[in-house]
Amino acid sequence: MKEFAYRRATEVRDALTLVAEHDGARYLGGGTNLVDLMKDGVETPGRLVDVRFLPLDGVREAADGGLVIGATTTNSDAAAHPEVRRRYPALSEAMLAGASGQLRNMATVGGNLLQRTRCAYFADPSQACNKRVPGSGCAAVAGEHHNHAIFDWSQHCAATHPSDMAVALAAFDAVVHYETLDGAGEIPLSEFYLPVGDTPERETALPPGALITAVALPGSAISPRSRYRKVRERASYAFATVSIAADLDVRTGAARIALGGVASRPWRARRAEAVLLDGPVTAGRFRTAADAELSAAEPLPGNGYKVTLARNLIVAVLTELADRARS
Amino acid sequence: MLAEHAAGWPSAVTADVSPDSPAPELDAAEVRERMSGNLCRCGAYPSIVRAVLESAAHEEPGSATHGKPGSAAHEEVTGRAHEEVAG
Repeated sequence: MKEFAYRRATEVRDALTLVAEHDGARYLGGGTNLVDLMKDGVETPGRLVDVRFLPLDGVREAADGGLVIGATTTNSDAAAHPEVRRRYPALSEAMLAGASGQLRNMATVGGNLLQRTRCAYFADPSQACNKRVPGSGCAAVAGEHHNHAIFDWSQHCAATHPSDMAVALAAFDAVVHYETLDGAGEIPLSEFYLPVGDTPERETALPPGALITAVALPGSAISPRSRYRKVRERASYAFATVSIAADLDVRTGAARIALGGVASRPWRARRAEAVLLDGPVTAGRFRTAADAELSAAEPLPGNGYKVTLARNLIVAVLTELADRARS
Repeated sequence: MLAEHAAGWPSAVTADVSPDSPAPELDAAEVRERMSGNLCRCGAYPSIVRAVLESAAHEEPGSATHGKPGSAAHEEVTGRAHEEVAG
């Protein structure tokens, strides 16, 4: 592990300055991903600026009837918050499906958004990886990629984003709030993660040195009975093979659906949403919606199973939401 | 873990996470999920699940399991459960 300096900030402006003045400095939240990457030599920051003592903790009401979750709120606290559970159950379920109790107790909401892919080639500095070393190639596209992307990958990178939480946030049209030395800003989650293209090393639309301060959930959830479902290779403590966050109004067909484990970012299933809005909410319509979404999938040779899995997951969760709403 | 359950925190196997629903019963599935990451990546060994359930059954209602998880009460409960497992 490369030597680094550790600094603790207690005010947002101090944190921004501490990162701006040191080339290669990184913010440290719970450290549940960054520290592992440092141990393996994937990340080599010269300075860590600990942001856990900033006044960014907690969940509060927003003016529009939604909620604002502070960036340093732990995943455990956010998942257990009564208003998150009441109004955005898919978000609570998504966070509870992530990692383990110990990790959720440490991991922050801001850090969760910025966690890196678990692609094994990214994690191994002896392998080619354009995300880790731009221009070095991608060992996954021609290699072991059964858990890689089926949407919008490129020859430069086929890694998936590993977050459960971000999938639910994508479905709820959350907005990421940040601060820079030049002032505050916000980015809708739908624009927060950049398409892979030929720059897989550029992952988010955050300006350089920006610090995430909060995630805002709009006050307009479609129904109070949203759902997150995660398929993984063992019952607990594993990343998603495919996951889904969904919210459905059975009367109008209005739906918000996001998939995890299928792209470099949470994949908003807008094709499926359009089909649902276009006709009566029936079992057949759910299948048509799922087929419409997966018609855009481009699986790699080793991960075609994810297409079937994602299709079935969309149908199953929409069916469950419809059954619950009618009961 | 027992304190989190006593405080009404849901887990990934809780059917309905709404705070307006009854708290999930502490059954084997809940124990396994809540133990996940502690000991065994597969969940937990059957004897440990039994030990946790036994320990939970011996807790007096309104005693140490109440209060916010992470408080001193939480440490006390965790320590006791651990003792019974290890002992």
